[in-house]
Amino acid sequence: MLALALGASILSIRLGISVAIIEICLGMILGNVMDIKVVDHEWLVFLAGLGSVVLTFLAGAEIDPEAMRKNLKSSLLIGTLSFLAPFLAAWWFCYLVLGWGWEAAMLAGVALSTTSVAVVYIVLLETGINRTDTGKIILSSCFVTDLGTALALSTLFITPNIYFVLLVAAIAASTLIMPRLLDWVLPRLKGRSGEPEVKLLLFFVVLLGVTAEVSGSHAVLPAYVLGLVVSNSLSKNRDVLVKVRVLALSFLTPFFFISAGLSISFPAIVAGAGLIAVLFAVKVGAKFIGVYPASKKYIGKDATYITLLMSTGLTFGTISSQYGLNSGIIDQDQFSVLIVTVLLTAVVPTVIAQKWYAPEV
Amino acid sequence: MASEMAKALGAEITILHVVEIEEMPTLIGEAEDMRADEDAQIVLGMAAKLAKGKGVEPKIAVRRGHPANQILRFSDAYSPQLIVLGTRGVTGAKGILMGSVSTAVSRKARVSIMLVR
Repeated sequence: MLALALGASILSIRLGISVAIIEICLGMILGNVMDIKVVDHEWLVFLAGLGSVVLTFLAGAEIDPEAMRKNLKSSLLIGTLSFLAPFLAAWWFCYLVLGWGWEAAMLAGVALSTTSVAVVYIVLLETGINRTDTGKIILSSCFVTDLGTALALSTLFITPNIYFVLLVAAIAASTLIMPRLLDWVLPRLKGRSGEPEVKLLLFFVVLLGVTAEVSGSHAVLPAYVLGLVVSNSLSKNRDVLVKVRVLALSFLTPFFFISAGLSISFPAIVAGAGLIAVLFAVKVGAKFIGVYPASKKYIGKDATYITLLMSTGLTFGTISSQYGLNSGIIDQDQFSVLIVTVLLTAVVPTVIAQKWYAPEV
Repeated sequence: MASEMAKALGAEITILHVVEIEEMPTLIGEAEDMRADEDAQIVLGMAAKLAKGKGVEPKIAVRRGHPANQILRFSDAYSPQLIVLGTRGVTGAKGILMGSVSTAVSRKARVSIMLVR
């Protein structure tokens, strides 16, 4: 598996394609050629799960809370529409047109509601508007979109039990305690051997994840919220954030993306090629309906460009789909169709945006 | 070649290095890899040394993003009389989809371009 991850990194550099996409593709080839099943390898299930939670935490930690506060109204509006439009469109399309089960269709809506914050950030960086108010509104909107996805994933499919109260309390407690704790502890642990700061962060990420599992929910919401509440503290201690990111990207997330690929069925993709194209159109079309008008109002002339970028999605789409498969909400065929649709949304809108709608230089 | 021309014409020269960032990263942090900036400083240091060897005192600049776009933006901001560019472009799938840097710059630049093999 590590050899596969290394190969994926090298291919990514040579081909100029996202390493996550390469990892999923290599996993797909391995799974279909050698018939390797994720569920047969508990260590892989564990590492993939840990990878997805840490990745979600890191995504939350990249939020700029100050920018969000400053542009709250516009970010909430665009972000909520960016989540709701494709969520509802994909959900109802899968339920009413495709005849998927209620929960399976809802899961499809969640998986196709996402936005790739990192891709949008790159493009904003490219155009130099990442530091402007417009750029901050766009980024904050993307975070709100993904927060919607995390919230949906963690609440729509749960069977509440008594421990759900514990989870809510844990999230609330972490919001209050963690920033102060990290501001006090991280400078004191700096430079110590054994990377105690990294262990401390991972301990709390895993603790919240376990609490979520016990409560019958998904770890993505507490991990994302934890990342958000400690983002300020980590921005003051960037070396800790870099260390966690290196650990995640070099060792944990490859297992997550490869295991997602292992679960894809070639025959299902071939049989569902038309469906994949339709679902792709549903997501992008819905994003346009939801995001374009608000983008036009708050951002102006590059609204098409921004809307196309906000139609991208990879990480949360993959996490949602994987959760659906692991929980038995969707079957392998449905998972395969969703994951390939998510992969397409990671690539196609970006290429179209850059090729034909890039802002005038 | 740019240094020799600048020396002959008594012109100013700016060496621009664009740190290419992955267009589809998983995390924002991947785009802010400080190691790429350090590598850029090394490359610029070597280029500046070469220029000084030709008797020219260059300015240096670093940008992050898509190379063609950043070159064009820099050109629009600073209005050089000539852009000197190598012809080794983007390779791989990205090259097929997006075209080479020199092609994109040649097509859109508002100033004269010299392509050097």
